[in-house]
Amino acid sequence: MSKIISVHSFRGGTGKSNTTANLTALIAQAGNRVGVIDTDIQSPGIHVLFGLDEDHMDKSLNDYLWGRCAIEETAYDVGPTLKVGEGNVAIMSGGIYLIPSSLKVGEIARVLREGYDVSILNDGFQDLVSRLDLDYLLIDTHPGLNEETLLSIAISDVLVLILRPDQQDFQGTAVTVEVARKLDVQRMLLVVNKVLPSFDFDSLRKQVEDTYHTPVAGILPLSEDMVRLASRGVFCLEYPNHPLTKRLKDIAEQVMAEG
Amino acid sequence: MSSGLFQRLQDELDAQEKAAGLSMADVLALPDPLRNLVNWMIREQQVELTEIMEYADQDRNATASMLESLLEKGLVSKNERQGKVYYRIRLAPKRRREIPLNIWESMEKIIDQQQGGEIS
Ligand SMILES: Nc1ncnc2c1ncn2[C@@H]1O[C@H](COP(=O)(O)OP(=O)(O)OP(=O)(O)O)[C@@H](O)[C@H]1O
Ligand SMILES: [Mg+2]
Repeated sequence: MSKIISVHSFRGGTGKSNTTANLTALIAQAGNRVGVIDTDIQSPGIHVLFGLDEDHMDKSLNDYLWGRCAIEETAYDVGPTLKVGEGNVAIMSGGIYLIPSSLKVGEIARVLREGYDVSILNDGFQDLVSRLDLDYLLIDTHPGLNEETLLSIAISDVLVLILRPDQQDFQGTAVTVEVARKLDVQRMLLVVNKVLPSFDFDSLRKQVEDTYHTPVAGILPLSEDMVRLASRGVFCLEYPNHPLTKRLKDIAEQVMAEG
Repeated sequence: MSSGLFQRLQDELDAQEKAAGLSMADVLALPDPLRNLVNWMIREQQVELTEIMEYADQDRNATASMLESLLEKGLVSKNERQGKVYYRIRLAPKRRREIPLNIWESMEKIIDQQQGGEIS
């Protein structure tokens, strides 16, 4: 059975794209065929982490949404070109298929101006899974609640909600949790990111779980190494033995586990 | 299904303009049992009449009439593949006219009265 995983946060900059990229790589390393799609059409970015540069981006999700091609034609097999840390070899036994959103100003403007057919996006998710024979499809989203985010929440088997230890994030997450319940989301996991290493992780976990009545899959520290990497690569591949990678692996395992 | 009840839904739908589909924000505003039904249909992408009957625990006639009205108003679409008829929720393009939500309210009343308000 294939699974669709959406990664979302109410506010921007929480670490959605980085977490999505890391979960993608870790799930692929576990031997799965994994698709990862950038539904942040207004401000795309996850392709950067996978080293896909604009000049080599021939087709994008936008082309599919405008009916110019089939969804699987917009998928890039990025496994072979992934950047790994010095002396490391990334073994992607499964394979990673990235569906980027366009960075062309005209394409972004067109989406903002004209909108697009959300049904087509839903069909695209399902067709990707079946045509590329994916075990997992991860969806990176735009922050906040908009039509494509609501759709990706509604159709996902697992929703990973990211928040920082910040009052604005706490309030926004409450809204998102309520919306996700209304959309009958099958399974929800919280990830608290950018937590100061000096915090008491256990009591933070308890506090968050008590507030949202939702399990916390992991607490990720604010990491200097992550800041330094600055989205130039996928952290767990650059630093396979890093404590943060261990925490990310633990989250990946929970995502893969049966709810 | 009581023909009086169905007539009420029919009147309600007749009074509405054809919508360009249902937006996800509309889905959030639906009353409970209907929202569950719509969420399920979106996840399944397309379902057959018998599956909807089973999910909503309604008989064939009531389900078929409900679907016909929804079809007519552009909230559901129907397509045939290999001799089978499938129904799917029509999701509205991102920019669209406001959808009249009282359609759903009146539908819920009908479902409520038929089965005491529980879907699945
Ligand atoms: N645990 C962490 N420690 C330090 N820096 C982090 C951590 N997680 C993410 N970052 C950094 O935070 C920034 C934002 O991350 P990312 O782009 O993944 O967030 P996002 O939620 O996808 O943002 P947007 O809402 O704009 O899409 C990046 O510079 C990233 O390197
Ligand atoms: Mg992002």
